[in-house]
Amino acid sequence: MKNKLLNFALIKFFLILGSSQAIANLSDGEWQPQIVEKMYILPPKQLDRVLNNDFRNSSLYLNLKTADDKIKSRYSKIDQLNKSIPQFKGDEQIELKHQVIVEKKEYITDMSERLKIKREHLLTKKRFFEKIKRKTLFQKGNQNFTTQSQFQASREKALQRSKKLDKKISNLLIGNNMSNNSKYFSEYQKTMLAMQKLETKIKSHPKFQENDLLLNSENKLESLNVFIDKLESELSVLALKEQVLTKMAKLVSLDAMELADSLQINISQGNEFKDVNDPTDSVNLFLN
Amino acid sequence: MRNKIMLTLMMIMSMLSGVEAGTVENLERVRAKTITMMFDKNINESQRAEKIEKLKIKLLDMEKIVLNDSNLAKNPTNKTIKAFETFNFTFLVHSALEKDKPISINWLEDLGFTSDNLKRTQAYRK
Repeated sequence: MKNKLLNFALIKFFLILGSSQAIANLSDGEWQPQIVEKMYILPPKQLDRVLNNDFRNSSLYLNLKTADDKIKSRYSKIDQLNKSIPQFKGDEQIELKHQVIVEKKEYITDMSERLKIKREHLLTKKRFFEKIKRKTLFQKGNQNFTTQSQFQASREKALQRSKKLDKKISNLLIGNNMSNNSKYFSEYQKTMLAMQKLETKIKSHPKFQENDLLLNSENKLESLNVFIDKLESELSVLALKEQVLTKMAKLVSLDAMELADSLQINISQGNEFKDVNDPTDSVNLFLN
Repeated sequence: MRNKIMLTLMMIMSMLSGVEAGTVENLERVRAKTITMMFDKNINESQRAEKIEKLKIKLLDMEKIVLNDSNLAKNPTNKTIKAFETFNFTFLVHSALEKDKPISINWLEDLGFTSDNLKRTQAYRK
């Protein structure tokens, strides 16, 4: 009897806490990407890889892993309890049902924590990519409008013009037997030849052909947009999962209510209450 | 201790030494020398041709150095910007080679002193 009352009190307690704890504010750990600015020039795909490695070293990841482990163990516990309920009757069955409700409530709490950590992870990642996008846009803007870029353009033009003349200069120096007089040009030619070989090799490299993002800011922006869109869709999926979790919490609350009600019925059946202040209940006294 | 003294001395020496000339300034010096040589009245034609030929190689090297100086892009001065904008006047050897003309003729033509223009000029009193 005492046991039943205790169970009833506990169920009522969890009933109150049940749904509110699904959106509880728990400490989730921290993740601040520790990526040096030099890496920002990497193509977004590689940057994502670096970012994921960085995340693995954070306390946020540690908490995510802990939450994952907790959820796994809770899931198997709930499954076991659900399977064993039909094998028992009476108080033991009620106790098992109570255990299931408690475990479900904990499962929802852990899952909510996990979703919160995941959201924080995705938001940090999104903020990071948006920062790089802003930088790329800024650089692109600079390239188009500053005087420095105008100078860069005229320098590029001059370099192209001069490169076209390299063969002519070489012929001129060899023809006039003056190649020894020009120290810089002969060294320059050697270096250019070596660089040309390297450039040909780089251009034929499969990874280079796969993405020319290092050189093309337009492509980099597009790729960053794809990444940000992907992260946004993942965040939307998380919002949907949170809705599922709210429904789960509601169901657990209803289960708890049902169990509480069934316990109350049992208590009132075992303890038929007579109100002596009511004359109709006291009639029997006068009939004897 | 000795190292510290050496380091301090080196720092003082570096502070005292003059500002290092840039590649553009070096090119400008040789360019000016070449142009001066073109109009030097104290030498005959064969001497002029020989001297300009020697300066041409030096000028070519200097031009290549300026063209490939990546440091210039970092913080270009107005002089540097102007130098690259006026390619034909800055890079005399390159410009001359491009048009297959001698340096002096190419430079004068770029200034507007072509043979045709000079033939068409008339001397008259105002």
